Amino acid sequence: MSRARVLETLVGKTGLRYHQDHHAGADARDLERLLALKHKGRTYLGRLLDTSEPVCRPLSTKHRAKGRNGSAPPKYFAGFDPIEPSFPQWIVRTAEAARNRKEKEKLNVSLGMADTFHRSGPAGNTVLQSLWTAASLSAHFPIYILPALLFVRNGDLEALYPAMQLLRKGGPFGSRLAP
Amino acid sequence: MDGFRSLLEIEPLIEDAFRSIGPGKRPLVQCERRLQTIAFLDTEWMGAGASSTLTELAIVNAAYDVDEDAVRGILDEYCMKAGEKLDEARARGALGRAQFIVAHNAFGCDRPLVARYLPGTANMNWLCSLHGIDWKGLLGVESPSS
Repeated sequence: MSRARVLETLVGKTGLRYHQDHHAGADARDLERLLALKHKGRTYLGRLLDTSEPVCRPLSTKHRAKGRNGSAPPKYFAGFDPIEPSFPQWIVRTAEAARNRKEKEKLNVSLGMADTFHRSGPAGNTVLQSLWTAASLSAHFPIYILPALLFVRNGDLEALYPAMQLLRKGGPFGSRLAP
Repeated sequence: MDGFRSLLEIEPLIEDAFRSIGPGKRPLVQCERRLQTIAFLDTEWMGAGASSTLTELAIVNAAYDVDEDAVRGILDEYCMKAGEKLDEARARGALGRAQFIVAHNAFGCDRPLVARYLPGTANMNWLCSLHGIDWKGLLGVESPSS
């Protein structure tokens, strides 16, 4: 059974209208639509991801043991884990996303950071939320996000200081923020 | 903790700046949803085996909400139609931004084919929707190998 035939059969079984014939060109949207369907309360994509190893690894034992500010310790980061060795590569990706303001990668990143902020407790939440928003609006995106990542990795608020010093000098808002 | 105190001092200023910019330009930050970028990939080719030639390539990056188990939207799309030249940077960028690359028969076809044109992509996180999902158990569809 050919690959196209299998896909066509599957799409037919799921009740999704199938537009692609065997001579049609490459169409990843068909696959996306198929796997986005739910079957017995679970998408096919979700089932497929269940078979994969988790990309997001748990926090270090240091973070798990302490928790932050009495809040429940975070289990996973969303879409990235700055603790694992791929940390530098992720920074490169972030910088690339910053260069192109249309990149939707930022959405994923921002939600991941927001998750971390929220779980860090009230103070961390407020500060990092502001930092992130400043980063999102700034042409100096990597400058702000790197200290935030260091904070996430080390749990060290001091790591945020250089970025906030830059903010104090003006940052993305010019002199309006200067004290 | 001097650094932390400095942060708290200027935090209201930042908030004021946000308010002055307007709600329409402020990105959503307060959210606990965990999103993953999934690249759906489809290829067309000519020939067989190592001599096969990539003729078409389609990549769709979608945001998948892990908590809600739902695809939230399309983030990016690249399509190389027949006769067009492969935009290596764009294709590689789309794949590089994804946590997972999903293709139907990924390991038997798409991954080795794409890896020949985009070296290094074979090491990315590929998932095969053909063999990775129990289609027969779920839908009664015969496996292509049976």
